Amino acid sequence: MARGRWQVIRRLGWGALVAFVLLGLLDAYVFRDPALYDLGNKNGARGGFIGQFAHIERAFEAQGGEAIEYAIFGDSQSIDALRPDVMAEALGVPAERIFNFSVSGGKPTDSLYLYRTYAKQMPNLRKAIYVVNEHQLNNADAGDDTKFKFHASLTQRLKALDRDNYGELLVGWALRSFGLRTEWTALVGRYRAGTWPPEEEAMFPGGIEPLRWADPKTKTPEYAAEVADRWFRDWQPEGVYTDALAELLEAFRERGVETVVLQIPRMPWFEAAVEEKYAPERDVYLRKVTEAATKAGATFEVIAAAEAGLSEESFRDVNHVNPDGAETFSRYAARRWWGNAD
Amino acid sequence: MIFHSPEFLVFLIALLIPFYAFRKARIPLLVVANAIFYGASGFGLLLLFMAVTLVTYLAVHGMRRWRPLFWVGIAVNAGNLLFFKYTLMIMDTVERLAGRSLLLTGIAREWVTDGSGALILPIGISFYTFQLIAYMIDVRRGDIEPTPNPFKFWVFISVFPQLIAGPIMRGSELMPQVENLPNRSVRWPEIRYGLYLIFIGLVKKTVFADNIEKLVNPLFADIPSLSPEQAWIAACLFGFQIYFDFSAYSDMALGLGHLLGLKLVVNFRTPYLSGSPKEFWERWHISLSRWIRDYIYIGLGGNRQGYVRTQINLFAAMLISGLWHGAAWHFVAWGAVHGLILILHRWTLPLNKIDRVKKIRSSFPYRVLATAAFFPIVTWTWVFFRAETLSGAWDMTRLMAHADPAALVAEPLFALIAGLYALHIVEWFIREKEGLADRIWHWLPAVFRGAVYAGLILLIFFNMKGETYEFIYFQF
Repeated sequence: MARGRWQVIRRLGWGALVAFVLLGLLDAYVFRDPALYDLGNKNGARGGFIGQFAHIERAFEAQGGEAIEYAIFGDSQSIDALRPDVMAEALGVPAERIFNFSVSGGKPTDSLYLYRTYAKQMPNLRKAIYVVNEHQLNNADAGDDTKFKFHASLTQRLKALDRDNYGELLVGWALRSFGLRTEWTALVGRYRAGTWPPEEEAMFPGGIEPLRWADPKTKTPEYAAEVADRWFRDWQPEGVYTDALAELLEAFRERGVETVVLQIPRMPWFEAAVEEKYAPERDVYLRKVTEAATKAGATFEVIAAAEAGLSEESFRDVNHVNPDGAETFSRYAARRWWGNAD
Repeated sequence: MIFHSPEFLVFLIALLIPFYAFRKARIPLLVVANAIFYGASGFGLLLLFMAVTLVTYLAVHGMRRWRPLFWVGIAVNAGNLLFFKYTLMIMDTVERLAGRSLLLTGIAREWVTDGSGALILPIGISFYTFQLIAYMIDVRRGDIEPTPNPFKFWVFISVFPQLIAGPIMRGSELMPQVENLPNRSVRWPEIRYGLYLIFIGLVKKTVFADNIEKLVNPLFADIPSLSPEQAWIAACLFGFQIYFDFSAYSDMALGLGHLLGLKLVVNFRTPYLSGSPKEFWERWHISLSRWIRDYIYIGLGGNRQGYVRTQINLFAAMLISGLWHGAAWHFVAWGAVHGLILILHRWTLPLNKIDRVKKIRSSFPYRVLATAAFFPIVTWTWVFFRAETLSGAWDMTRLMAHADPAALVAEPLFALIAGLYALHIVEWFIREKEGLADRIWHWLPAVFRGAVYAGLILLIFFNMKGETYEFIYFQF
């Protein structure tokens, strides 16, 4: 070690050095481990926003990356609607060839993070479906997204900076124990309440477990309007999410992965709510996705419920299909986009 | 921008790198950094602060040729403070006396309040006003030479560690250090000591002050429902909350000063170990006490104009100290109570002329007894500071008068207060016997020390969570 650096350590003090090492180790092996934040699977928790990455990790390790040829990326809509087991059956291929990387509240940054994490372990990946929708391109609150705070790179954080969050995002990049303090401090309360850590490590084959039920109140025109308002709040189509989508699609193109960007069906109430209040914003979203897909040589398809053979009974809420809907749509998607696979 | 925020950490790192690398650029760097730091609270408030500073600078330089400029400078500074801080209070009082709302008061109210009717108070106004006034008086008295460089003057008045809540620095203390900034190197021991003070301050603020606040607020929110013992508990806890809060800020200010190579004055010296009111004011908010003594008490004549006038001067100085803290009658009452206590204590001082009394008073057992007796007194005075109204303070005082000491000790939170007091004694040891404390601490294995540091850092993060609590003294 150079004399100057040695002097710095000596002057700073051995205690401080030990503290730095300890904090560094804790950060690397505890606070950056998604399993720490796993809330289990009770009541459809799906691990919680960060914990779901641990669920993905377990499912992926159980399945083995070598076998995977088809991958799905997206959010809770695609967790529910694109079931690897049903798609495999429709294609007549073993289930371990398909993996669904979709996460609840998923954004393009999450998909890019997951793809980068597992890409090298999937040497046989050939086809991908990216499920997109309007909220994924609303960059307004990117800096507040818990998942983003967990995995975002420095470059991504710089893109999401604003006057109020620059300290959180930059310090949080260096120290997850700081950036994710709201998450891990909440675990203390859960521990006291006996709800954390989960009794057993949840693992669902092929990705994250779909939800099969929803409160009937979430299947109404009023709720559709509420969801639309949430998705378009402070609409900001430029930013780190939009860039991540283009980056992910480009990464697929470079690797030769045949990609379909898909907007999967929602209930007509939801489409009406968007049309009524957010038609111009929706048009911008469609243009942005089309541009990104075209540039990366992918196709972008917007599928209406009727087109895929889905009816009102196929949904558990205004934008998520129920198990029956999932059966129908998974088969439809597998045959339509992956049908010529073998 | 508050010290225990990640935004401030980014700001500090961005400043310190060029500050250490380019010694000659330190003044321009601080000119800009201080403006950014203060400007974070609002661009308009920054302009106001700059304007008042410029007027003061011009007055200081012009008053040698034309003496009335001194009074112009004083009037601008005092007027700025009075207008923003006290207009609402004066208007409310005038309207209450008149028994109806007045056109003039309505117009004034619009100027000093925001849309919700809350007072627009430029942050740190009480601190920078007092520092500017002190500078003018010191120049006028011939104690210091005014700096010809307006940028250095701006750095002197706006240097960010002490800008928002002090300590209130004198020209003779800070100006030479500012002048010397480009010529001196900041040494490792200074940086280490600075980091240590910042660390202590962070622990005090996030671990103690903010958590005690969560206990204090519900107690003061419903005074009528408190038992006499709970009223004492509430007052004690608030006493510790405000101490941890304000001394945390001061520790961090001192620590940040060290990082910049500036030595700011110590503002707190474990005040609850005071055995008398005089000693309390030598240990509590020391820079303000000095200011009040030197520029108000002595300005009024101090103890040079006879026995009665001395008591009046003392009382008036404490009234002004109370009013400085906030535009509300309960703050005035707090100052008045402290003024009366100081006067009463002063009456006992002639007893020191009796050798035996003097000997007893300087003994350790007396010291312990005096400290034990004074702590409840100072605790009671906090009621006037914390209660939102004078009548609330009075209600709580009446309640406290009926407390049963045995029941007080049996209160669940009494153990916490005892623990906090014990911690206060530990702090006294660490601060007053710094060398010995340092040797003992470094006698422990580095692994243990490192684990404690890491644990405390995580504890700070744990207590910061998503929300950030401001410092109490920011409102002054």
